[in-house]
Amino acid sequence: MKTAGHMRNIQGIQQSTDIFFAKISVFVFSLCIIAVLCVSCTGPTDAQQAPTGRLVVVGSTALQPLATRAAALFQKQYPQAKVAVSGGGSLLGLKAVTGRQADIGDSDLYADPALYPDPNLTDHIVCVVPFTMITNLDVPVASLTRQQLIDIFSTRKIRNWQEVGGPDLPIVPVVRPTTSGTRATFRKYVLEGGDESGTLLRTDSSTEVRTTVAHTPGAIGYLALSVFDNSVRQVGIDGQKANAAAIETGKYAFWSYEHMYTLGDNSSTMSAFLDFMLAATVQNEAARLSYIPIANMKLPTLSAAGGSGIPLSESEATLREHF
Amino acid sequence: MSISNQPAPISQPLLADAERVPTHRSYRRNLLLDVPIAGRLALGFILAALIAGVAAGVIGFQRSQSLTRQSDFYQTLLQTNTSLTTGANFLQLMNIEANKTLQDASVNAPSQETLTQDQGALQGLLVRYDSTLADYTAHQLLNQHTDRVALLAEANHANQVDQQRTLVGSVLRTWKVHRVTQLRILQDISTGKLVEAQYLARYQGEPTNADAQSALRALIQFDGRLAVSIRDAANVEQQNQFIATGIAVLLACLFIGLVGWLISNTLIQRLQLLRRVSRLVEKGQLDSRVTVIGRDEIADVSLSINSMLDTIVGLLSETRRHRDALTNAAQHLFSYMQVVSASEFRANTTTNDDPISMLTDAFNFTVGRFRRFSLRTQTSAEQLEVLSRQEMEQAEMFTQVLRTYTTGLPDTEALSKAPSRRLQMSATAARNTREDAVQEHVNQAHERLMEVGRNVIKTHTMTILGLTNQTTFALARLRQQIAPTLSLLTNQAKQPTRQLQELQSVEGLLQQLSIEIRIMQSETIRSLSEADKMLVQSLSLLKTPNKESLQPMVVATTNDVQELKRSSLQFVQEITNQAKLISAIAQEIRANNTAFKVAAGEKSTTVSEPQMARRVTSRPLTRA
Repeated sequence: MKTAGHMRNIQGIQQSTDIFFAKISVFVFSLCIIAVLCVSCTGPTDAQQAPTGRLVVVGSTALQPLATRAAALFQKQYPQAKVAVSGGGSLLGLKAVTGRQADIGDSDLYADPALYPDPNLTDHIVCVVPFTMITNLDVPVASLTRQQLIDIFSTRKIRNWQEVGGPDLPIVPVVRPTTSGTRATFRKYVLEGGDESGTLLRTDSSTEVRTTVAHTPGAIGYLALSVFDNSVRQVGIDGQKANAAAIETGKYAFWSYEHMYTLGDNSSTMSAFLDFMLAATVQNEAARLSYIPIANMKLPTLSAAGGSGIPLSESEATLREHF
Repeated sequence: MSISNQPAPISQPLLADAERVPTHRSYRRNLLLDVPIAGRLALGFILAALIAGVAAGVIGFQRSQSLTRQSDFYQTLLQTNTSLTTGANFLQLMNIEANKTLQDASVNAPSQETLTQDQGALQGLLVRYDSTLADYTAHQLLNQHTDRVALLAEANHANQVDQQRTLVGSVLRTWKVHRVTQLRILQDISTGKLVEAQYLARYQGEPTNADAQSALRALIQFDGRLAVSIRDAANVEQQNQFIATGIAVLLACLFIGLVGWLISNTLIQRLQLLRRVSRLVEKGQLDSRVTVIGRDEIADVSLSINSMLDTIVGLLSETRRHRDALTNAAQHLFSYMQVVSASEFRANTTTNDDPISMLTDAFNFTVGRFRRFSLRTQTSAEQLEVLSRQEMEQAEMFTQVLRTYTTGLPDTEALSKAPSRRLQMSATAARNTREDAVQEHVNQAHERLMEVGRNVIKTHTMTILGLTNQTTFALARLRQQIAPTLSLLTNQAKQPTRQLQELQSVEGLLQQLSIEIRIMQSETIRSLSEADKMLVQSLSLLKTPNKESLQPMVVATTNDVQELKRSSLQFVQEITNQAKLISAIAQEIRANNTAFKVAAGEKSTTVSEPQMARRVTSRPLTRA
C-alpha cells in the first residue's frame, strides 16, 4: 500500500511537472505570438495616415489645367484634404512658395539659385508641357526653321510671310509678358538667348495668345499644346510638330519641364499630393490634357560624353544638330 | 497410476513451460532508437542549437546584408554628392570664367596669352562638368542598381527611380543648352564678335547657367532625399527583421519543442512500457514481456528485464515441477501404503534417483526400523509380564510355605498340593529327587482321580442315563401300543409277536444297563483302589523325608522364626509389589505399542485424504 501510494505520488509529481512545462511553453508561445503581432501592427499604421489639411498651389498657367484636375482627383480620393489651385504665372508661383504664401509653386522655369537661394527649395518635375508655334489660320506655313524663328522674333529680319514661303502678309509676332514662363522657355530653347519684340500682350495667358493669334491676320505666337485648338494653325519647328514622340526622343526642343517647387516637403499631405501628381491616374490625365507624362521622357545623351579628345568646336556642331 | 510413470509428468511441464513462455524479442528497427540516450540528447541539443543558430544566423546575415547595402548606398550617395557639388562649383566657375574671358577680351589691347588661358580654363571646366555628368548617368542611375531599387521599393519610394531619371534628364537638358551657349560665346570671342558674345553671355549664358545650376541643385537635393529614403528603408527592414526574428523564434521554439518532444517520447513511452510490464508481472501475468525497440540503454534494460523474467518464469516452473513431483511421490507412496499395509508395511522401490524412490527408500527404512523396534518392545514387554507373573506366584507360594512353616505342622493338604510343597522345599533350599518322585506320584494320583471323577464316571453315568431314557421311551411306546392292543385284544390276536419283540428289546436294554452299571462299578473300584495304592505309596514315600527335613527346623528358636517370618513376609511383599509394578509397566508398554500401531494405521488413512485432494487439484496445474 505504501509503495503503491509512493508510486502514485511520483506519478502525481510527474503529471504536475508535465502540466507545469506545458503551461510554460504555452505562455512562451503566446508571448512570442503577441510580440510578432505587435511588431507587424506597428509598422504600416503611421505610414497610412490619410492626408488632411489644406494645400495652396499657385503658379504656372501652363500647368494649371493639370493641377486643377489633379487637385480634384486628390480631394476625391482623400476627402479630408483640400487643394486650392490658382494661376498667375511661374514667377508668381516661385515668389509665393519662397514667401511661404503658397505650399506649392508651379513653374515652367527653373528657380534661379541666385534669385531663390533657399536651400530647402525643392524641385518636383511633374510632367512635360509641349509648346507649339501657332499662326493665324490664313498663314498656310507648315514649318519654320529655328533660324527663321530667330529672324522673325529676335532680329526681325523676316517681316513678311512671303520670305518663308507664305502669302504676302506682314508677320505679326505676338509676344508674351516677361513674367511668362513660356516666353523664357521660348527665348532659351528656340531663340537661343535672343530678345523678342512684337505685339506685347498685357496679361500672361495662353488663351489670350490663342485668341489674339486667331484674330490677328499674319500673327504668329506660341502657346502650350494643351491650350491649342483649331482656331489657330500649328506650325512645326525644323520640320517637327509638337508631339509626344518628337519630344520624348529629343527631336523637338520647344518644351518645358513643369516644376512644382516646395520649401521642403515635410508635410505628409504635401508629399502625398506630390506623389499623387506622379501617380498613374494624374499622369494618364496629363496625357489626356496634351501634356507628356514624365515617365515617357527618354534620357538625352551627351554626345561629348567623357570629354575625350574631341575638339569642342567640332562637338558644338554636333550638339547644335540636336536642337 | 504406478510409480514407473513418474518421469512423464515431470518432463511434461518442461515442454508446457517452453511453449507458454512467449518470446517478444521482435526488434522494431528505429534509426533514432538505435542511438544511445546520451547521443540522442546530444543530438537533440545540437539540433536545437543548430536551429537557434540557423535562425540567428539567417537574421544576422539578413541584417548585415541590408546594412551593407545601406552603407554602400550611403557611400555612393556621398561620392555622387561630392562630385555633383563639385559639378555645381564647375558651373559657377564657368560663369565666372566666361565673364572673365569677356572682360579680358574687351580691354583695349587684349593679351592673347591671357585669352587663350581663359579659353582653356573654360574649356577645361566644360569638359570636367561634361565628364562628371557622363559619369553620373553612366553609373549612378538607380535603375542600374537593382539592390538600390529594391531598397527604395521597401521604403515605399519606388517613384524616386523615375524622379531621379527626370532630374538627370533636366540636368542634362539644361547643361546641353548652357554648353552650346558657352561654346558659342567662346567662338564669338575667338572670332572677335565681342558684342555678340557679351550679349549672349548676358541673355543666354547666365540664364542657362542658372537653369543648369538649379537642375543640378535639384539633383543634389534628390540625393539628400534618397538618404532619407534609405533611412526609411532601413526602418522598414528593421521592422521586417523584427518580424522575421519573431517568426524565427517561434519556429525555433516549435522545432526545439518538437525535437524535445520526439526525444522525450523515445524515452518516456518505453519507460512507461517497462512500467506497464513490471506492473503486469506484479499482478501475476508472468508471460508479459517488454517489446524491445531500438538499441539504446532502455532497450538494454528491457532486454535484461525480459531475460530476468524468463529466468524467473523458468525457476517458477521448475519449482512447480518439483512440487508436483513431490506431490505425486507422496500420493503414490500413500496409495501404495494403503494397499500393502495389510501384508507388509513397505513400499516397493525402483532404484532410481528420482525423489519418489528416494522418498520411498527413506520411508521404507524408517518403517522397518519402527517395526523392528515395536517387535522388540513387544517381546520385552511379554518377557517382563512373564517374569512378573512368576515372581508373583513365587511370592504367593513363599508366603504360603512360610505360613505353614510358622504353624509348625505339615499340612495334610500338602499331600494333595504337591507343587506348593515342592516350592516350600525350594524356598527352604532343601530339595531332593525323592520329593520330585512324590510330586509326580501325587500328580498322577490326582490326575487319575480327576479322570475318574470327570471322564469315566461321567461317561458311564451319561450312558446310563441314555439307556434309561431309551428304556423309558421304549416303555412309553409300549404303553401306547398296549392301550389300543388292550382294546383290540378281545377282537384280534394278530400282533402278539410284535409286542413280544418290544418286550424282548426292553429286556435286552435292561440287561445291557445292568452290565454297564456293573462295569462302572468295577471300574470305579479299580481306579479307587489304584488311587488308594498310589496315595499310600506316596504317603510312605513322604513320611521319611518329612521327618528328616523338618526336624532341624523345629530346633530353631521361636524368636528367630518369628523374625524370619516377618522379614520374609516383608520381602515377599516387596517382591509382589515389584512384580506388580513390572507387570503394570509391561502392560503400559504393550498398550503404548498397540496404541502406536493403531495411531500409525489411523494416521496413514487420515493423511491420505488431503493428499488425494491435492492430487486432484494439482493435476490441472501441471496440465495447463
